[in-house]
Amino acid sequence: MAGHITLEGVRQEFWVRPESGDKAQRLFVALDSLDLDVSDGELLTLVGPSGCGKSTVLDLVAGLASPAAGSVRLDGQEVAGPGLDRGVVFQQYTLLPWRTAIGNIEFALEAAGFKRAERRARAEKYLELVGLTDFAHRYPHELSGGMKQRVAIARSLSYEPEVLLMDEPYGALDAQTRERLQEELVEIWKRTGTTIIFITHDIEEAVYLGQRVAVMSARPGRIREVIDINLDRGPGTDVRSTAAFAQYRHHIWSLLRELAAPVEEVTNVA
Amino acid sequence: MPSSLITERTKGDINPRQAQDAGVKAAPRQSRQRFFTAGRTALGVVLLALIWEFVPKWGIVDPKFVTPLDKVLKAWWEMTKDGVMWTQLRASVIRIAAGFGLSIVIGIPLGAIIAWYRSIREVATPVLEIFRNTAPLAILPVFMLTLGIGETSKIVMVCYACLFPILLNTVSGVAQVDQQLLRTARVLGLSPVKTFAKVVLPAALPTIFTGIRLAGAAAVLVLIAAEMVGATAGLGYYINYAQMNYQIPEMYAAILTTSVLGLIVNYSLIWLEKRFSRWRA
Repeated sequence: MAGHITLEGVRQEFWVRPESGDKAQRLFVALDSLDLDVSDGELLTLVGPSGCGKSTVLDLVAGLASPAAGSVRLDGQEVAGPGLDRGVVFQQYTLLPWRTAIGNIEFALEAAGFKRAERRARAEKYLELVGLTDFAHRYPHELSGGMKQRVAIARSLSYEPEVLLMDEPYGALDAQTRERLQEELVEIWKRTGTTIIFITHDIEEAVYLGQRVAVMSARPGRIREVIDINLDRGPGTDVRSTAAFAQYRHHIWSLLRELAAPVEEVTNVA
Repeated sequence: MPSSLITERTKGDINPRQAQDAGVKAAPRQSRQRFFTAGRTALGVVLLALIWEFVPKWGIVDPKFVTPLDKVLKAWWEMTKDGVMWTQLRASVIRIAAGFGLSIVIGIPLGAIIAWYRSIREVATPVLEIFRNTAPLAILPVFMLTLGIGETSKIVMVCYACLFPILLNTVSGVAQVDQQLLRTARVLGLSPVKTFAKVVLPAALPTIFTGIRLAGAAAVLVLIAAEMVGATAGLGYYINYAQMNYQIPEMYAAILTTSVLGLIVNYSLIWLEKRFSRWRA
C-alpha cells in the first residue's frame, strides 16, 4: 500500500476583484511556498484559520486544480488530475439524492469499473464497515447528517484508494455525532491503512484524529508548524480529558491566535 | 374556526429523528380528516355543477347562450354516440401528442447542449429571450402562411409553444446542477458523457419536468386557438363551428371536453413526474 504525498514550494493564485473601491482585477495569492510531506498510511490533520487555503491544498492533492508553481506528487508521480487512487469526502453532503445509500456506493464502483456482482458485494462490505447495513435502501433524505457522511466515507473507501482526502467532513454535525464519527474514522483508518489528510478548523478534532497536526497560516497560506501527536490511546481512556491532550490543544490554539493577530490589528486601524 | 394555513403548517408533530429512533413514520392524517377532505373536494365540483345548472334555469343568465348543464351533458352524450366528439377529440389529441412529443425530443437535448457549453449559451440566451417573450399565438399567422392550414402547421404550432418551457427549464436545470455533485463525479474520474447521464440529467429532471408540465398546459391552449383560426377538424374547430351554427349545447359540450382533455394531460404528467421522483421527500 502506497500513498505518499509530497507538496513542495506550492503556490496557488486566483484572479479576484475587490468588493469595494477600485474594480481592477488583481492576483490573490492563496498559497505560497507551501511544503508538506505525508507518509504512507499516515493520518494527518490540517488545521488553520478560515480562509487560509486549507481546501485549496485539498483541491490540489485531489487533482481538481493544478498549482501555479511548485509540485504536488503522489508516490513520486506528479498529480495531473483526479484519479481513483485518491478518494475525497467533502463537507457538504454529496450523495446523489436519487440513489439509495447502497446505490450511492455502487455509483462510485460503477465509475471505478467494477462488475455488477462485485459492486453489490463491495458496497455491502463498506456499508457494514460504517455500520449502516440496515439503512442500505434508504434515500439520503431519509438519513441523518451523520449517516450521510458515513455513506460518503464508505463510498470513498469502496474503491480502495491509497489516499483519503477529507474536507471538514464533520463540520455540519452535532457534537455527539461528530465524536462518534471521529472514533469510527480512527478505527477505519487502522483497519484499512489508508493515508488520510483530514482538514478541519476544530483544534480538538485535529488533535484527537491526527498522528501529526499541520497548522496553516493565512495570507498567503503556508504550513506554519507540524506537530507530532503522542497520546495514550489505550482502551477506555478519555483521551480528550488528558493533560497531554490539553497541552497540544493549547499549543495549537496559541499558534492560531498568534496567526490571527495581524489581521485584528488591521481591523482596528480600519 | 376552520383550521387556517398557519395552524396547519405549524402544528407540533413527531420530528424525523424521533420517528427514526422509534422506527415509525409520521401518520399522514387522520382518516376522519381525509374523509372530510374528500368531501370538500367533491363539494366544490358539485357546487360548480349546481350553479351551471340553475343560474340559467332560473333566468339569471339567458339559457339560450348559457346552456344548463343537463342539456350540455345530453348534447355531449349524443355527440359521443354518433362519433362526432370522437372525431374532433382524436384530431386534437394526435396533434398534441405529435407536437408535444416533438418538443420533448428537440427541447431536452438542445437545452442540455446550450447549458453545457458556455459559448453556445452566450449566443443562444438573447435569442431564446426574444422568442420566449413573443407570444406563440402572435406567430400563429406566420405558421399558417408558411405551412398552410393542414396538420403540419398545427403540429409545428404546438411544438413551438411547448418547446420554450421545456428548453428553458432544461437549460436552467442542467446549469444549476449542484457543484458538489459535479466535483464528486470528477473526483471519481467519470467521463463527461457518463457524468451527464448519471449525475446531470437525473439532477436536472425535476426542473425539466416543471417545464414539461408547463408545456402540457400550453399545448392544449395553443392547439385550441390554432384550430379555431384554421382547421377542418379538432375541438377548437368544433367549438367555433358550433357557435357559428348556433349549436350552443354542442359548443359547451366541446368546451367541457377540452377541460377534461386538459385535466387528463396535466394529471398524467403529474403522475409521471411522481414516478420519476420517488426519491424526493
